[in-house]
Amino acid sequence: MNKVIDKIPPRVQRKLTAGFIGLFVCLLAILIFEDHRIEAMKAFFLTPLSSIEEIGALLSYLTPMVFVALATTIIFQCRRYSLSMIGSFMLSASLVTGFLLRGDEQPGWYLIPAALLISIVVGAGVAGIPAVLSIRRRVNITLSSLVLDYLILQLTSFILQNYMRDPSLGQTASFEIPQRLFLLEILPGTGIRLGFLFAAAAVALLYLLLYRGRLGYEIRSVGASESLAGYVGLSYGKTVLKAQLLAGALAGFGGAVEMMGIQPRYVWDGSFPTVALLGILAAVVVEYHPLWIPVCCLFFGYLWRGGMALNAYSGFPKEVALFAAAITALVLFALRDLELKGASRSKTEKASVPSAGEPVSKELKPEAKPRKRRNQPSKGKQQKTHSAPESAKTDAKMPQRESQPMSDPLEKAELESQQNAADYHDGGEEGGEK
Amino acid sequence: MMALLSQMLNAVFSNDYLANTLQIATFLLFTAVGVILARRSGVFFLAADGVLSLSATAAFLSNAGIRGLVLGNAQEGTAEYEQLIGRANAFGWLIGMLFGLIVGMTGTLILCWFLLRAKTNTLVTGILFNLFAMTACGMALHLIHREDGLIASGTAASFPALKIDAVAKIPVLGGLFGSTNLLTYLAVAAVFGAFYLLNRTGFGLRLRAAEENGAALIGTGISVERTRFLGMLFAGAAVSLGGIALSLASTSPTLSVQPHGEAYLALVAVWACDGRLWKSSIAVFMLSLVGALSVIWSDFPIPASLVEMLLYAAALGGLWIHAQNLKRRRKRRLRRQRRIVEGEQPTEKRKGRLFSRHHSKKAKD
Repeated sequence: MNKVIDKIPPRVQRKLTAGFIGLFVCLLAILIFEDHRIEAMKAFFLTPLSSIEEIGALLSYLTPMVFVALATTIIFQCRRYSLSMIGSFMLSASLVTGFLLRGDEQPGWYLIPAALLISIVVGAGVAGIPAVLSIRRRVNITLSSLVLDYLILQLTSFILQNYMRDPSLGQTASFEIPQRLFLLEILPGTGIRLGFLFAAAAVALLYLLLYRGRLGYEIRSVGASESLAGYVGLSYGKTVLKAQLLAGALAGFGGAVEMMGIQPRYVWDGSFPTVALLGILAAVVVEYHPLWIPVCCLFFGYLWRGGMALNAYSGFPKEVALFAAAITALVLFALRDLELKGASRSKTEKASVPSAGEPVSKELKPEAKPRKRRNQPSKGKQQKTHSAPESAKTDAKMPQRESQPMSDPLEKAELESQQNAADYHDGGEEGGEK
Repeated sequence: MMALLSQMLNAVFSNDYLANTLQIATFLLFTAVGVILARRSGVFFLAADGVLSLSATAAFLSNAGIRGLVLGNAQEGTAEYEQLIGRANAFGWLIGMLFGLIVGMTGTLILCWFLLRAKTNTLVTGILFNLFAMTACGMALHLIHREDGLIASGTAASFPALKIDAVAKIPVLGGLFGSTNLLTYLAVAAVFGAFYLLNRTGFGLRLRAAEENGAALIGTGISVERTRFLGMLFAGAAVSLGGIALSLASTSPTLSVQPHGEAYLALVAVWACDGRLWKSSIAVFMLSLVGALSVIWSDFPIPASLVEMLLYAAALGGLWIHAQNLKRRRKRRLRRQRRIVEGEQPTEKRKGRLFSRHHSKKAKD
């Protein structure tokens, strides 16, 4: 057993552990708060996999999630932490619904591509606002995009209540989009539609774009270090704008896919769509790697479908899936830190004389550490196994790497920018503070 | 149409409007103070929203629970109820405040571990923490009320209002300040307290040093991390108080799971004022002037979402105006420098100092 575990790389081990903890949290919540435990657990864990239809529903439900996760990937790889994908997703879903309901008499061959186009334009437009504000006016992009999300939340609920609401329903929801306007069903009987293929293609394309393409390299180098990108002749503003627009278009497209066949009514009145939030979490959990996103989305989608089944069974809060996903991501962060700490500790133990006085070392440790690391000459194994700087982007300090030789300028710049802790002034506050 | 407009204007020029403004300003002010303290500790406190909702939910639920426990089976209107209600309310808000603070501080501690100890990315951790807090609160509320996430009003006791007889006799403002909540006064006191803490104490000096020049602080033998951690504790306490104010300061406390992003508004107010304490307080008050519109216009036939949109639009506008001002200021500075270089304008005397260096050099000559 141990041999098998040793073969799994530690990064994957961490993710698996975090995922199991997420599942465990669900299990615990059900055990504590449910009366009929066995039935509830069956509903939660088995329903999503119980039949072909259910599996098909699971796969089709995770399609929009993949789109949002891809959008998050682009934005976070570029290190301009905008959250406009939620707004893009919501507004494009709302407007696509309105468009399809209004133009009911028009033929489908015109409506469907037009709706997809609208979604892309709207999504990119929403993402463009904070991006332009950030580039031209140096407004903090996280804050402006968050406030914009809330503004769009109110706007969409206004549109829903005044123009699309179906009065015959108990809850606030729009009229149902007619079936002829759904995307094509590629596997009859499962509910998997053309959107699934789109999502798969988007994953592959985004991987190629980010790791094989020019734009992706630009995005990643701007994310690694703004100043280095400037020195090599990249336009920081253009790259950020491109990345944000691309991400917004993807998220908006996800919104259209969601409305055309998966969730034919617009239902989010005053609350954010769970699918968008899960998408963000999925991207964070896989450390913004496009190829791993579908796997993580599958896990979160499974939790989500399970939560919905449990909600239908006993009224257990639907939030359990999102809760478990958030716990998974937080635990992953914590595990990563523990592992890095452990690695650096074992290194320092080997290097330092073991007879150092305990209390003194305790006192000195927190202050001496960062300085020591920075000046530490590279020693130990001189191997350079990692090639891509995409891993562990979110760590502020990575002692493992700092002790290794750095030949890749991109990587070096990334470390520098991490040490500068630029996140605090994210969005470019430093330019105008004095 | 005209009648509606005049009615809306009338509603704005009422005591009710000001009272609502103060109520919204209360929790925003607490949050803004917390955010400023965190900013001084070098942390972009994006997770303030999570801390706010955690403490609000904890305060409300514990308040309702204790109140129900004390009241027991006493029916409303009976003598027993009349006897118990005073004690129940007092216990309710005291325990609510205690639990709100405890849960909010616990959340802050967890966040501190991530940010200061594990050194994870501030923004991503903040987003994750907010999602975690949002879902945790939603789950707690839905577990208690399985149908919808709104608990009926009247189950929790509101924070007591401070009544001052002398003030209540003043004609116009008397109606307002006669029944202002205790927490509002506390919020104003918190602003002054934060000013004192930051600018008049040794700890404030160290905290500012930790943010601006950590190496200097290490040079004096003080741990930067510990100082920042203490600063974050103060910030967490302020934001937790904001959460308590959010759920308990109104006369009939309610709690809903719908997100409103209150802490983001406070963050915007602080960031649009460069983290200045007094400016941010004024900005927060202006935001709450807009926010109160949605409360007093709720009876009129205008869509509530549109009025609520105004609040976020105002916040975005604030950010934009700030950026515009910065740009103008930078341009003016550049223009002045160019004039100085070209010799059209003599070098400037420094304002605000009687004997600037320039001045004294001249005197020596």
